[in-house]
Amino acid sequence: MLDWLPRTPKASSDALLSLREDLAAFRAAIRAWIGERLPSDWLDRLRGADHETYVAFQKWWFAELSRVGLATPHWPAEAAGVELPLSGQIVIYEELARAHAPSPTLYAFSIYHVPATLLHAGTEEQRATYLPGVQERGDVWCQGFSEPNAGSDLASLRTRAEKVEGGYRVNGQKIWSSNGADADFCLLLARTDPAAPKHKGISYFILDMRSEGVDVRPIGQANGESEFNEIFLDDVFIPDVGLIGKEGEGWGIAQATLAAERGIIIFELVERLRLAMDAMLHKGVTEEPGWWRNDASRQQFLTLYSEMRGIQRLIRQGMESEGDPLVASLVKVAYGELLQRYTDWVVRSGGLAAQVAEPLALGTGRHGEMPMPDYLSSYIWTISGGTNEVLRNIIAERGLGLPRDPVKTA
Amino acid sequence: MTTQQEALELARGVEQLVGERFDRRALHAFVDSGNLRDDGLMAMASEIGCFALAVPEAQGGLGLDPASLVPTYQVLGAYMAPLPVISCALAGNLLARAEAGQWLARLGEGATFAVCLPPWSELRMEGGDGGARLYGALPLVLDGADADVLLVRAQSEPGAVWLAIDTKAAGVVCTPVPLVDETRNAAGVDFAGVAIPPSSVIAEGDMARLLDAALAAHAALALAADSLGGAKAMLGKTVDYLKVREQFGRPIGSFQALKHRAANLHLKATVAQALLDEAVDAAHAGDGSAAMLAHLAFAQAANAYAAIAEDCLQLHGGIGFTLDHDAHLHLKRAKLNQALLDGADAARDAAARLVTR
Repeated sequence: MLDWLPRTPKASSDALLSLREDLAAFRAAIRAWIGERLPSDWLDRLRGADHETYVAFQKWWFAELSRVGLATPHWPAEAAGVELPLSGQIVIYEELARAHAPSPTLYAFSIYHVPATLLHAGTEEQRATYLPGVQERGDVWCQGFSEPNAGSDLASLRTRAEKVEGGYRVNGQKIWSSNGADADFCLLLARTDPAAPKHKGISYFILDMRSEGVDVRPIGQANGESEFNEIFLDDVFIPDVGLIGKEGEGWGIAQATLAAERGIIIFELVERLRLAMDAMLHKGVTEEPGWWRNDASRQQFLTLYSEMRGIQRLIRQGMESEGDPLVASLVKVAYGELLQRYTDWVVRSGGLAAQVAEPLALGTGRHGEMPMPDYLSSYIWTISGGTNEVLRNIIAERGLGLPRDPVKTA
Repeated sequence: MTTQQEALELARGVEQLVGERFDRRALHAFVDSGNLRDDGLMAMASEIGCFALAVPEAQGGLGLDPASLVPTYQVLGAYMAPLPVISCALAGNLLARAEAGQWLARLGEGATFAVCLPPWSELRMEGGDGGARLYGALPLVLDGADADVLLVRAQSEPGAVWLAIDTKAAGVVCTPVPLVDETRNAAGVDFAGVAIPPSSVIAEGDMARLLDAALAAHAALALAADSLGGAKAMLGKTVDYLKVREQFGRPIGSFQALKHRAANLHLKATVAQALLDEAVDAAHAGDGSAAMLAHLAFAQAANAYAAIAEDCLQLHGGIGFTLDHDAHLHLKRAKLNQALLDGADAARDAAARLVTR
């Protein structure tokens, strides 16, 4: 199926990371490594491939990145990470983006949400079990937060975790779980105390997706992929060691998880968008295509480009100031809407040709490389991780200090 | 101390003085008076060297580069202070680049300058060898109504030249042009064969072209900063109002329709400010993209100011439409900023021409 990929050697290598003090050398070494390991025609070979091939390819790429320490460079020392400073992370993202290397989309939760959650509230044992699991075994994680009737109003979730001997018995339904069909573990929110106020009765669990009673069903999406899943939980047993934090603390811990979603993930995506838009700008200046010669279209592009540069600075600043949650919300809204308008611009400048259906390369692109699929996929960023409408409430209430809506919340 | 720290300290100092001596009551009194300037404010600004900020220290100024002046421009924009600080700094920077010592000394001594901004009208300098004369008209020179000296760009036989002209010189006719934005003044200027002595020619050839580019980038940075100062001040007042104004028995800021608009405006100001910060950092670092970013920053900031001023007037309801409120002053300033430098689209095209191929 993927016999065109080089086999990943067993032994890990710190040859790349050992150069991290010298950013120019680090950059050159990463560029050379990508050139050596990643077949340049990977994207074309993946076009039209099925979900299993996509998953196998992602696993191969993550193993490659892990072997040389590029999969989790942002992890802090306490998670056995190298704690690469921002300047070094930017070099990695820039080089991966420059080579159009795949993002490890299957591992988004493994590399961002899991450390954010476990370092915030996990036990020593949980960290020692699951963090190396990501780095060494390539464990795939998903998130079980939303429910059919708990979307924007996440705190009204009803999945029930009942205390039983040695653990909890869980019943309920989760939805919009990215990578759920391929996940080994799930970051799960469930209600342990139905009598408590709704934010207080929620607990946070690690769910082994191979447990009995877990049924995952993929959801067909508008962009032709099926990244999201429903998860049905029917008398699923989670042992006591699977509880993160204390009973009833789930809501607070979930905020740490969501901060990762609105912060560091977008940081990487904006770096990629920067390169995509720089390339588009360069193309405009050097080749003067139709959109460049058309005043309205060129002006629209330059406006979008300007916004991107502002947002890129905001997220870089936000990362340096240890992830101010408000900056994260601002950036999430700004990035999602910029991406939507930019990919829409790409579609419109592409005319009818952009309306011809092409075979998809699952989990790739996203920044205008595939006009219609990328435009459709942009809705992922305006809807998931807190809809932009909910985040506007957060910006207005916590950022600007405007009064809360007087609707009863508990 | 770094230049950036100095820049911030200067801005704080200016804010303190303007805040103390020229509150919004004084601003409205000034606007109502119909005067070209507030004499007390002008005297104070001159005393603390506000008009010589870009003049080199040797000629009595602070020798600040455009990027270091951004925080001060932003403060003055927030207060809508009717001072020719931007014009004088643009002039100071041009004269310093051209090493025009005589004119720098004049600026350093307290004379006020106005500069003709792009897009440049066609002025003609004819004749030479000591007998050069300037012909043509400038329809609108910002801060021109009370300026002592004008810096203008003209075409001569060999190419563009930059000239410094005393507004009292024979053949110069300065006519104040009333602006809708009453916090600033402007003049139309006619040059009917004004004699140009060699000392008035501050740059020609390559130096003139360098001044063209430097002035355009500095003006873009300055007006971006002015716009964002105004935008954030107006937005801050509006958010405060949304918290206290009650209708239907609750603060109107608790209604999601208004809350989301406030969040959108905050987002607009924040992204435009980040872009301006990016342009300022690039300028401090001597990065090749600095001028391009300055033009983009102007386009974003001027449009953000207009959008914010428009929405903030609306969010205040009827009170925002009154003469006593600040909303109309900001809206008028924003619309003038949007029209300067030929507007946002021209600025983006200027940026596009500066992209490295």
